[in-house]
Amino acid sequence: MPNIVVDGVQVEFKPGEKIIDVAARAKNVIPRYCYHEGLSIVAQCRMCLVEIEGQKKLVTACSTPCTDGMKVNTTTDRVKKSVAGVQEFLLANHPLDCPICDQAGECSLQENSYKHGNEDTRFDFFRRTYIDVDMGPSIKKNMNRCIHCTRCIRYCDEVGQIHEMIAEQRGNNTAIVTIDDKPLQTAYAGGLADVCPVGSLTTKDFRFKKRVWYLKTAASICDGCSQGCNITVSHDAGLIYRLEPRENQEVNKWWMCDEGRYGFHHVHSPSRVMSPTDLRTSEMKSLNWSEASNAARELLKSARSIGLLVAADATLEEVVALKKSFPQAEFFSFSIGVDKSEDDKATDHLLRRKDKSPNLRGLEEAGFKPFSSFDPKNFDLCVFVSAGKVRLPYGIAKLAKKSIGMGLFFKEELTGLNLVLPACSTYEKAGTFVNQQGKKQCFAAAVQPVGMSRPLENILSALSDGARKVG
Amino acid sequence: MHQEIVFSKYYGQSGVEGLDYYKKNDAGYLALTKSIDMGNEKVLAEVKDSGLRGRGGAGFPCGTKWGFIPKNSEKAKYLVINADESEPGTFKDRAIMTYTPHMMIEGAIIAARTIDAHMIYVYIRGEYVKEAEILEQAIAEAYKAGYLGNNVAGTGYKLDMTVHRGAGAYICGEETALLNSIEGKRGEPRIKPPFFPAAIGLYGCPTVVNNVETLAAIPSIINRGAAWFKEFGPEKNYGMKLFCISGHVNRPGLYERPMGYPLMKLINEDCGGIWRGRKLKAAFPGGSSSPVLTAEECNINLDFDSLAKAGSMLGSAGIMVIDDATCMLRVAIRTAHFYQVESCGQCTPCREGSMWLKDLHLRLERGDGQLGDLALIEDICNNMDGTTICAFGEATAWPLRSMVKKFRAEYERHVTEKRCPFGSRAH
Amino acid sequence: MASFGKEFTTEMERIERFYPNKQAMLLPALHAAQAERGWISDSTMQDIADYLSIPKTRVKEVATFYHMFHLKPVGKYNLQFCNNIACWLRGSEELIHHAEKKCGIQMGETTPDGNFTISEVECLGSCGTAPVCQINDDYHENFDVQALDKVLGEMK
Repeated sequence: MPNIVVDGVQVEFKPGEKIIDVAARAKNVIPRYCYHEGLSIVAQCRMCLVEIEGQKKLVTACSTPCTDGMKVNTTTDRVKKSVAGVQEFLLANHPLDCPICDQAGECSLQENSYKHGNEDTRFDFFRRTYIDVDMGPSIKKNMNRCIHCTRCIRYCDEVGQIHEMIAEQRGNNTAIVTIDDKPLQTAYAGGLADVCPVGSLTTKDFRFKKRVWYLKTAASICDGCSQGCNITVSHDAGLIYRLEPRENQEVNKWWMCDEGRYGFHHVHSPSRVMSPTDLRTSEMKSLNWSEASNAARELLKSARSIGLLVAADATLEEVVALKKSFPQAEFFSFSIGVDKSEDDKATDHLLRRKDKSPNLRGLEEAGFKPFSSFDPKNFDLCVFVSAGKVRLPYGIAKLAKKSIGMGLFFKEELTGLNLVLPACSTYEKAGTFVNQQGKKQCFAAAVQPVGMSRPLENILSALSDGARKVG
Repeated sequence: MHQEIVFSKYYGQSGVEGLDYYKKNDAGYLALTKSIDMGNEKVLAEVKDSGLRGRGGAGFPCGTKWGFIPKNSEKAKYLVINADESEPGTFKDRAIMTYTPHMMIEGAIIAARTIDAHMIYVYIRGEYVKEAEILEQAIAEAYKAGYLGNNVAGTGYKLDMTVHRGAGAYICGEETALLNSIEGKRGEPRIKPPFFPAAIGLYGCPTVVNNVETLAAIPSIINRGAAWFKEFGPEKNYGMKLFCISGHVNRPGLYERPMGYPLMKLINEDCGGIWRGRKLKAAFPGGSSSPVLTAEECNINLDFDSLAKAGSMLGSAGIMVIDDATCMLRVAIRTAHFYQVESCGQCTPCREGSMWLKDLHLRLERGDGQLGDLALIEDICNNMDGTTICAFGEATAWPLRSMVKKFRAEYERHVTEKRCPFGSRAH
Repeated sequence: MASFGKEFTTEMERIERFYPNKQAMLLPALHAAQAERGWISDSTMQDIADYLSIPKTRVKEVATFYHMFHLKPVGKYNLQFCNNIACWLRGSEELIHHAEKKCGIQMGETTPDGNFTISEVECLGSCGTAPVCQINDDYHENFDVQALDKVLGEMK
């Protein structure tokens, strides 16, 4: 393999690779603003200038392909001066409003200032200002903070594939705007906040909710559709604050859709049922877990046939536990958008799928029958399982003779259920989903289950005595 | 010094821009016929041998540039004429297009055939409305005479030519910005490499971009040979050249002289010296992007290499002469203002630096500046120099840095006296 | 949507064969549209986009980049003074002040009667005959206060 030497460290490269990526493999992160692995290269922020031995001019590491034996220096005085110079130019017109900026703590401008910038400012003129126009429900814009890297323009063009952000005017007056000040149309608008290296584009959903340095993260999988986008869940003190895409070249690259991104608020919904609830009488009654187990066992005892309708946001581990607990029962899967995974298809050019559940293939592989063949009237008792993302058809429990709900349910959809045993949402549990490609993807729990909710496996093992006697 | 008027012999004559006039008086289109007889390889060799260097500013050898065009490419090839003449102090291409458009067109046809291009775009700056009209007219004449169209000079070669007007953007003189502009995009320079659009140029196809004056020199080179061309000018800087002189001389205007002509001779003899009996203070030798020369430094020959050696450049040969009653800080303000207005805004150093420099210069002129501002100006220039996609960063930094360095005492007086010692007037 | 006049369409049809795609005809289209309508309004941008079958975004980002396209109406006579180095060395500032005083407006403004606009432009390539003022499409070279007065008088 050919190689280059970056600051004395030899690194191999594949033909066509750029210096910036190859250096990163040697843990040498060359500072950058306009460069993003997932977007086209424009080399206009000029932050990644490096020196190549034998070349007179500095070159941008983002746009310069490696050649065998190339010697790259990122720490010479010339490079340091140029990087500090670019940093100073960028800060010249950047408001120092970090205390109220949501990007603070994860801002490239801050980080590079700390690492490469000058100690004080030499710019003492009025800063350029803009008046911002609303960009729709997803993104909050602050043009004053913009550093003109044009990642957002390229993101809209290349990822969202709608040419809706443009550079208007030129030179020092350049403004990055949406066309005719219209709200963004792309279903991937939230990604603008990810690609924006500064606080110019942030999500309205997360705005002013939390300083980022308090956030902890967990690696998870989005449960919004069968794509299974890899995500990072940011949380603190049991609360989820935001979901962001996590790079996986085989599944979602660097991206996720807005539907997935903002699809976690049900976890903390005030109408979520947070304790075991007995609905056998007209009065709703909260139970403790031992009372709840008894109640469930009572319902199960009298049932000679049991049908389980499991929403396809159950994990493979939960499927195993359910099968073990109800060896004689019939299992049906439920998804939104499709009945069987063979009907699933992409609904746009990028990630979104017709099957709005994360694990339909996993359930099918475990032998679950499709929802279309499920008739609650065929069973003495129906068990409805859902993690709250794939919500079961409203009122279906009314068709069952008797029923138990296990999982994440909301107060307004309890009609027909006799008993609710609250379990975890996706982000409160670890597990495995099988995505539309057939890829098994494991994820970790981000937060503790809310209220008295507990993992489905725990609920089932407490019931196991009663269940085995059934049928 | 040997000289012979090539370009400007008939400037100002009535009907000079017409095809008939060109054929009758200037051996019009004989070079085209000759080039067809010679064949492409010989034409290319002749142009290479002549040592003709691009007249747009960079001075790159024209024949070498043509030679970059890949021979076996299946893609369409293009010839683009850079007539976006916008460098302050430059007006030579305008004269060529006004008086001898056919000289340029003939040169372009020869060039297009040599590189196997079938389409020529003339990218002319938008403000040149009359010149564009004259060109359109001349192109129409060339079509009618069979020099353009489906059967160029009876050879069966297909060649089209059209005028594409710019719309007020200096940056479009940068060749890759110019190509973007023809493609109907914002005139933002493209990233390098590729350093030449020879392989990937207009619409992603092999392209040669030549300046108007460069192409206008081609017919005479073909007609009279490389050896004749090399009779003019010093080694590696051959040919006759149009020098544009403006500012504080008695007779400003366009002067055709051989390369390597002494600047002081041009100022004192040809232009009648500095106006109003004043003294020479400084001069830009090659447009506003060239580092300024002090009066002493003006004892120099006007060619690419002599000026480069002196730390400046010939550029587009736009010589702006400044007398000793002029405030150099004010000259710097005009310069800084220009680059601030014309920066495309892509690259950070240029976008932010050009504005900052202008602000600093204005503050100095108001008398609100500090001595430290002078070093700051220099350092901002250093940070813009060589750090941008195109040469605009240097074009801004070089003249401004040269002025603050060479006329430091004058700048300092603005600080210490808290006002402009010249009353900031030009005259 | 307003359609363009005959001159616009004739020009577009004439040049179409020189360009491999419609986007490349954008600058000629903007010039022709401005010649017809005097300036490039938002709806004109839309009309051009429709005519060339390209997104309006492409028109807008380009139209705002080039300074010759007027994004608001200009006067019947647009006095475009070059104030770059060569013209300034030859007294362009004095001319501009004189014009401002005569027209009663500042640089960048238009007289209330819509007759005159005064604007500053960058080097017009007339440095040997400086100072220069481009009034609409016409260059007025070796310009001075007397010539300016004369021209203004003729235009009123």
